[in-house]
Amino acid sequence: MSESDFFSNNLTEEERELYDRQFRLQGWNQSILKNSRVLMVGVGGLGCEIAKNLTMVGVGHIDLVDLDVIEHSNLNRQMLFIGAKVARPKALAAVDMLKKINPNITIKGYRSSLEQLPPVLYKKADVIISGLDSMQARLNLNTQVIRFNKPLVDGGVNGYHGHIYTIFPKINACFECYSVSSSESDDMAACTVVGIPRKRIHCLFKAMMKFEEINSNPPNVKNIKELKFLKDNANELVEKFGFEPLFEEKEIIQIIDHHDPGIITINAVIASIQSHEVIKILNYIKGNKGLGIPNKSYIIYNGMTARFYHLDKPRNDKCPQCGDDVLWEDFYLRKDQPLQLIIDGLKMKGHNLDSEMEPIITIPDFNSIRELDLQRTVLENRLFPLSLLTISGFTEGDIYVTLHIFKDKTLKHSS
Amino acid sequence: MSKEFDEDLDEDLDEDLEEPEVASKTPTKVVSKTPAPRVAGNDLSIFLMSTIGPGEKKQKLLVNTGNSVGDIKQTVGSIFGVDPSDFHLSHGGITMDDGNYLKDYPIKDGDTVLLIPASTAGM
Repeated sequence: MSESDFFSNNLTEEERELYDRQFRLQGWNQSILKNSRVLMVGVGGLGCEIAKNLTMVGVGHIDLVDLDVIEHSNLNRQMLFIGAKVARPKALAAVDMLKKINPNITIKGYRSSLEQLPPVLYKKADVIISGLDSMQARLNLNTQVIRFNKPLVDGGVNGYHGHIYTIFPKINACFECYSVSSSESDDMAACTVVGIPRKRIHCLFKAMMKFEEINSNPPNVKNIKELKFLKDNANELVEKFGFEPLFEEKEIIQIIDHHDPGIITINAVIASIQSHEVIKILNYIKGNKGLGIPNKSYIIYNGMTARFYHLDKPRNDKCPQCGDDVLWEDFYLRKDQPLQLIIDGLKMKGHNLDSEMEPIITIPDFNSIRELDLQRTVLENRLFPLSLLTISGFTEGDIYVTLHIFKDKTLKHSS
Repeated sequence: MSKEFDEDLDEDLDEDLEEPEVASKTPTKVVSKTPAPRVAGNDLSIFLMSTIGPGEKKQKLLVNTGNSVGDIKQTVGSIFGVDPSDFHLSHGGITMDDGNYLKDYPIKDGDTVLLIPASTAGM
């Protein structure tokens, strides 16, 4: 068992005092935590608890990401927002509170969707933690952690149940190793409703989109007039395309104003296990095995019986994301160079263009996919350093390209 | 503390601490309420175990590999008294897709299939 680093020069007097009880733990190493950086995605029911834990235990650098703003209904379980103003971005309000809890660490908040987050934040993190409620966002995160080979400590709750699962890229299953069924609410998040409605639910989505087009703001289902607009427009489509039964007001409210039930006790159980796994992983990957081996199985918690279940999740080596045959490339461009150079470069690297197809480059955008303009430059296409591009049109299938952008001062060194 | 109070408390405790009904760990009854298979398949006898709900239950079920996962979930939901949208079926660590058939998974006679919470978001 390794010794505690109680007298490490890396720590201040104040920190020694604050973390005194932790130092007394067998195998504890505060310096490892102090020199660690974690990325926390989703600052909701789970995220608040996890961020509080990692802040109090002294993880040196925490990046918080959330797109949402505070609502009054968050306050039965999201303690970081107590005293904060309703409608304030969650990521920023959380930072304020966490800085008070532990001023010895660095905490940064980003009000952003995952698609708009600078990818460098994934690369800089030692571990990524998610407290998300949508599969769409999990899949987005999945791609990033596979690409940068970072552990992803995921958690989720549903009523009196919850789960914890850490993806260790290429060791256990990722979110895409097996076919994923998307729920209807995720259909809504994906907003893929163009043209003819393919399901009954799409009729309602189209009615919502029509409302947004006319009013340039989303419908409020608590407003009777707006609810009636949705009902009439949705049911017109339901009848036209034969998706009966018709929608009733109650069902529309349930679908649009959908929120999973949530209670702090179940959140706290799941969040605590996630947090402790993060601490173990940080120590383990930095050579301190004294805290135990990080858990690789899928843990289910049933709050009604207080039982835990462990499921092994074997990796699928044919997975379209983490499988052995997935093509990953790195590419270096200047800001003023056109993206066509990537296609040319891939050809030079020995990839063959499919003569039947025009090559295209896409990037995930908020709720959709954005096609990039090959003739335009990196800057004109609004790309971040380390953007993950998907190149289609080669015979081997899609190729993932990490785009590196030369800094201005290195301009003269590049060809 | 008055005697009266003690008695009331005892009564309450007895009521509250009554064990939730847990089905026998070695079920004997074979329930076969599964719908007709949609495609050709074989009959299998499998065990279903819930990780969700108020009691850990295990139940034997006769299924056909030509049944869809979605259909099996409906049957399983009614046996266990849970809403099919609140759980996924999981076999060998793999969450089964509602649109697939049982024969799309390597399920053998006597295998256990778990009901896992929907918090798994389809994983």
